[in-house]
Amino acid sequence: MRWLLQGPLWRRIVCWFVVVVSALWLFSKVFWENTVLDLPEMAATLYARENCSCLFVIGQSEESCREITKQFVPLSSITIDREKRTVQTRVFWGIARAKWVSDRLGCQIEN
Amino acid sequence: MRIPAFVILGLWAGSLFGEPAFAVQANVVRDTTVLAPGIDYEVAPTKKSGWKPEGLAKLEAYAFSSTEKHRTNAVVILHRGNLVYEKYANGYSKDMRHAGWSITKSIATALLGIAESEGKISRQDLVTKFFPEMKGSVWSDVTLLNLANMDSGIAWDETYEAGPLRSNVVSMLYRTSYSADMGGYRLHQKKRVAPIGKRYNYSSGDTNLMMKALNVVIGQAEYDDYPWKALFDPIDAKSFVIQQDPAGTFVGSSYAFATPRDFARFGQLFLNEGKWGNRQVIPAEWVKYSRTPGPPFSDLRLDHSPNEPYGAGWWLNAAIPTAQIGKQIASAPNDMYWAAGHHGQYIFVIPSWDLVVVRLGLDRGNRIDGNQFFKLLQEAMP
Repeated sequence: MRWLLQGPLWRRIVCWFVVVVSALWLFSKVFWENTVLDLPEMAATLYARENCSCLFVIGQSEESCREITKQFVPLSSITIDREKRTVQTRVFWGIARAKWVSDRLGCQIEN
Repeated sequence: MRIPAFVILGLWAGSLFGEPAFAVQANVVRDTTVLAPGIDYEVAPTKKSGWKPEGLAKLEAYAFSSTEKHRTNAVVILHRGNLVYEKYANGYSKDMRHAGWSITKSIATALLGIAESEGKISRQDLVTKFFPEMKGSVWSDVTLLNLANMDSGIAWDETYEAGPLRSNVVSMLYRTSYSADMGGYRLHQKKRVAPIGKRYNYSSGDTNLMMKALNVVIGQAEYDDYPWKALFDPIDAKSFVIQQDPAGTFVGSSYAFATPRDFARFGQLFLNEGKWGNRQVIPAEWVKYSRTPGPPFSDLRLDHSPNEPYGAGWWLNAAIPTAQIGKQIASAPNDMYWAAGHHGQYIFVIPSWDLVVVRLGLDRGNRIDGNQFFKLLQEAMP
């Protein structure tokens, strides 16, 4: 408790963040489908699939696709291979990769 | 002051506790070209159609406004089977595909009707016929029709970006372990919240389970070509893409892409009561069923979620007094029905006006106002 209420500001922010995230994790673990710790994986998968679709199915530019697919959680990194038509993304510790399969089937997440 | 990434994650996590409903609430008139097999669109302006250029200009100014909160990428209007208006913005063009999102559900349920007409399945087939391992579970006695009407009574949360922690659809689409087999993910939901057929609850999982059942009965080799052979090729809609999950099931809830004109063709097929040229592509009875309120809407109970009438893959405009549901878009006819997708994708079908309107966009916040859109549209009509 002392660390939450006293001490340097940065330490109090970190402590409160850990408490809030832990409480959210516990609450979501009990009552919901996903936990806070699942968010980076889900966000990375979203960015990978949606950018792959935007680039290789729709044919928009990379800049337009970044704008079209943006979410509240920022993308940490994105690697686009236009020759292989793959998109690899990272959001914090979550990593995902999508590939273009065919003209009819578009993109698919590689599990 | 730079905000650390973990703080952003925390703030996002903290915001998780609440997809807006459709708010109910450019310009050259193209030549009239009949949408028939083998005939492409003409691109010559003419006044034959009778549409009022000044009315279309007002509609265009509203739909493509840069000051309104909605964002329109494409509008295509077919009247009496003819292309009378189209406009594109934000980098889109007539030859560029657009994401349909849940418009895909309307395609998926159309495929169900076609498969039934071919004797491949029956709408009354039990889910357990295709997945016998689920006998004795909450899925016992649930039919393919329950999936099409989304009234299985099995719990499902369709919240989108606003509630990713509790959302089943976000889990299904974006959690690696679940997105590997989306129909399978739905099949393993275990909580029944209402008797079968009594409560409508919009569910992307139901559509993907339906598509997985079709895969079981058709077989992967034929299934991979089925949407094109059964539906897209007969209406000459060459641009369609439908993505699959790694298990090989079409993601019928979400991942169809096509040019706006090809989405319009699909809408025209429904306006034609399932007929294209001389071929009955979708049974007329199934088209009619698709635009009929599902069984739960005959019930006075008010726990429908949400209170927007739904048929089988299509949203409905008419009021349903028996369910105490009002008309959805006041300025459009009662017989209008539409396919709708995330972020403002629409295919409107209006039999009494002999009209198909496709509107595609990226409405992240407020959706385009349907009342205003159809008020302006009506003022532009002959």
